[in-house]
Amino acid sequence: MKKVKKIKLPGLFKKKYTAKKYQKKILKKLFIPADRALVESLAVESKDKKGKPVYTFDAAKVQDSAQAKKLKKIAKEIKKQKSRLKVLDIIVAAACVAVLLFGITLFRNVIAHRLITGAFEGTFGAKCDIGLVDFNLFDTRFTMENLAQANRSKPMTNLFEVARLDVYFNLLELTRGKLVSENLEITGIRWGTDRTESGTLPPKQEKKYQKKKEQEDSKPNPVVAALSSEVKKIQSGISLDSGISAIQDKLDPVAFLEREKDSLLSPKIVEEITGSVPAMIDSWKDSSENAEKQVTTMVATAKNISKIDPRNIKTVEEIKRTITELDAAKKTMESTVSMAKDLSTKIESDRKQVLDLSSRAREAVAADSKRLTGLVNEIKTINLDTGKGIVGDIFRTFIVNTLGEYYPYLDRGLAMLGEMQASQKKEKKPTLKQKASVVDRLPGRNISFGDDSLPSLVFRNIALSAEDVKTGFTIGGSVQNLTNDADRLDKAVTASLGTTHGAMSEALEAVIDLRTGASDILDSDITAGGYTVSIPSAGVQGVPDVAGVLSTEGELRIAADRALSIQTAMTLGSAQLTVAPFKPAFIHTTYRNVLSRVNTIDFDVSVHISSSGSFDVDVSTGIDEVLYEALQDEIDRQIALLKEDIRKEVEKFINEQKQKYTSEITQFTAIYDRVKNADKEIRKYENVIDQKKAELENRIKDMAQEQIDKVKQEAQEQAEKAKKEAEEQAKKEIEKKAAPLKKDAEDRLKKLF
Amino acid sequence: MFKYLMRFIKALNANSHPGDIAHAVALGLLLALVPKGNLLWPFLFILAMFIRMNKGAFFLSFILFSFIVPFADVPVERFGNLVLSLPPLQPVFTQLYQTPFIGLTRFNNTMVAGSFTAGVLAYLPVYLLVRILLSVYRKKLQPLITNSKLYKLFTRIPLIKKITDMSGIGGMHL
Repeated sequence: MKKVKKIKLPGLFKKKYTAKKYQKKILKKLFIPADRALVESLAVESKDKKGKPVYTFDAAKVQDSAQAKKLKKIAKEIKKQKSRLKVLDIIVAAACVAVLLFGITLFRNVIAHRLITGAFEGTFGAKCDIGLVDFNLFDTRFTMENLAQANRSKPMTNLFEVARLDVYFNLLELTRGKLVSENLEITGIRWGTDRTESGTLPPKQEKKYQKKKEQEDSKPNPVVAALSSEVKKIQSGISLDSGISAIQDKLDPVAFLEREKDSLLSPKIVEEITGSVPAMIDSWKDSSENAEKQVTTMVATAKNISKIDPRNIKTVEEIKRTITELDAAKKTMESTVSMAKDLSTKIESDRKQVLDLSSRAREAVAADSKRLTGLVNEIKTINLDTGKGIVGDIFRTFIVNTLGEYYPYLDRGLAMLGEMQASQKKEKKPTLKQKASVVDRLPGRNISFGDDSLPSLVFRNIALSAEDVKTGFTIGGSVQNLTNDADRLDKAVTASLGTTHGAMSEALEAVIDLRTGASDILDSDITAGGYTVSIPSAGVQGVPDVAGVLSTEGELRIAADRALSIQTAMTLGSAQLTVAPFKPAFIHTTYRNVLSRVNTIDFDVSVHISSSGSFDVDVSTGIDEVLYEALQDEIDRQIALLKEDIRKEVEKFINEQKQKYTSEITQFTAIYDRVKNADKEIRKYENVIDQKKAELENRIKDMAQEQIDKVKQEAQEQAEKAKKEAEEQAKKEIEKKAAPLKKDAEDRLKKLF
Repeated sequence: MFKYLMRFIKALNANSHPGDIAHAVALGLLLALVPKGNLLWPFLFILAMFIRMNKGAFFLSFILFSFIVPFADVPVERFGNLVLSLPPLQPVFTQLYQTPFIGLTRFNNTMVAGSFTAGVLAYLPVYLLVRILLSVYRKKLQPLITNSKLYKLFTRIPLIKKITDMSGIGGMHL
């Protein structure tokens, strides 16, 4: 047998126990029969000094290490058995709760500040600053001071400011999860105030807001979408609808011609002429001038030659010399004539082309003139569509714009009020996680004890009072019975508000009935006045800028099915309707004059927005009729004048076209004439030299004849004298002597020729 | 879940006080019965955390009862309505209802009242029942199991042996 190693007992089993303690501290704490048996097998009963039984445990009875191990485990399990309550834990937890409550009490305002700021920033998408938040639970009071909510679209401006908000709430109801306030006071509300720092959200919050907005926008309100679409349509199409733009081009002489230019023939042919004829002119200019110069010189020479009087030439030598000069001049004459003739022949082809262009240009101008005149005659006066309202459209735009801007808020406000109604709350669909983790339980019923029939949110009386000395803004009013469960409260919300700011004032008496079965959700009477309104035309031509002081009185109703109707009579006093210059100028002038006579505009506005999203905005005003009548008369008169203007413009254009091509043609014609004249001129003098030469030759003949005659005369005289002498001396001898003389004279003559 | 199961099995087979398990099961039932979403439930839960009991048994019973109690909602709701309608208790309820912060417990809800009362009433019987069952188990069933060949064979499987060693229940058969 293996020798058992001496075993050490756990501390619990080393002690001595009285019979009572043995039962209480050992045996009663053993619940496994086997363990109990084991412990009992080790126990050794003995007597103390007083003879009372005491129990010890004998280590020697432990048979093996497994038993020793088991004893150790049993001792450990016995030690673990303590009192039922964890007193120390309770103390620590109580301390923690106390610290937590203290922390909440201490930081309640910081927490509330954070929560409110986050809620506002999440709603408006811009920074929210709050000066002071004081949430005093035991005084049942909540105070907030200097709340400034930035404007998302204008980060350096506040959307609104609230100087002070004071709520006295019912703590008991609050601990029941209800917010019941007997009095709510809001003071110091201001709008559009400047900020010292930008109200843009930090990137992280901005991203969160965008995500939230995208989710909201994914299901746009059909009415809001329809209104936005109508606003865009009106803004882009108002001038066309009013008919001004449509007639504008038609009646502008310049625009009229500009529009027709593409279909005219003359500009093309004129362009052809101005493109080709100047080149011809350039090519002919120098040669024609040279020819003219040469011809002029030659003509001068010819004229000088023609002035030569052969009779004045006395000697044959002089005649011979002159003839030599004439021969030289004749050569020059021949080359000049040849050159002039050559140019004259060559220019003919260009002239033919120019004449063709000129002819085509004349025909084109005639055709254009006929066409434009026809078009001018076709212009008729404009019959304004009196069914359309210029001013009505402007106000319709204004109303639609205003609705587009404020209806979403109204819709959101009503939706919020509707969603607030506990009785109308829809159960949210559980998320997948919720479905997986939660077994549906019955909601049960809440039973009230004592005086309690209040909804979870009630503002019995809200008093609004604000005054801004700087802007002169004051608001006063009260709202009663604002609740999230109108059915339970069984009262409709009533509101009576009045504001004044500067010259402006508004008054609202409204009943908001969110009870089940109520025929109208909202029934309100609105009176407002003193609004300085400026409706810009947004650069749309022909649309006047309207300014004035607007006042209105009407009613706004929203039926149970959310169909909205507004019936209101509006008046724009001190009206100023101005229109930016546009063409045609006459319409602008007429229009401006007519508009300037308008001082007051009365109009009725009727708006119906159905629950399905369709809407009808009707603005009726008598001013449009007056405007149209005045405009129509003036337009008829001015159209006649304008037709005349256009006719003049057409005539001017045709003349310009004529002038353009005529100038080129004339220049060419001048060159042509110059060439032809040169040719003609030179031809006049072509025979002058020959004639003169002939004259000179005749002169020589004459001079020879004269000599012959003279010699004959002298011979005759000598013969007569000799005859006389021969007669006197001897007839035979004279005859003998005369024969040689005769012969000599004849020789001399022969010699001479 | 496995951790709670191990704790529970370990407690079953160790010298842990039967009250530890009995309280745990009774509290587990109470918390499973009471609907969440009110101040009462966290209050009870925190209270449970200050009671020395077997957490394994507590969470196991809470989880298991949570699946079962919805089937008893209708009678529980009726019971709650009955409790809240008891004329002798009306002054108490009225007083409670008119006391700030008590409303946060939603005691006036028939489900809360019914389930809480049912849980409290069932507490003692459940406690006693568990103790009896535990006593029977430890005296009769456990020796039979631990001495059975099947169990011994089962505990020799390496994975089971490792699990029992890790959980500290390996010596239950001794």
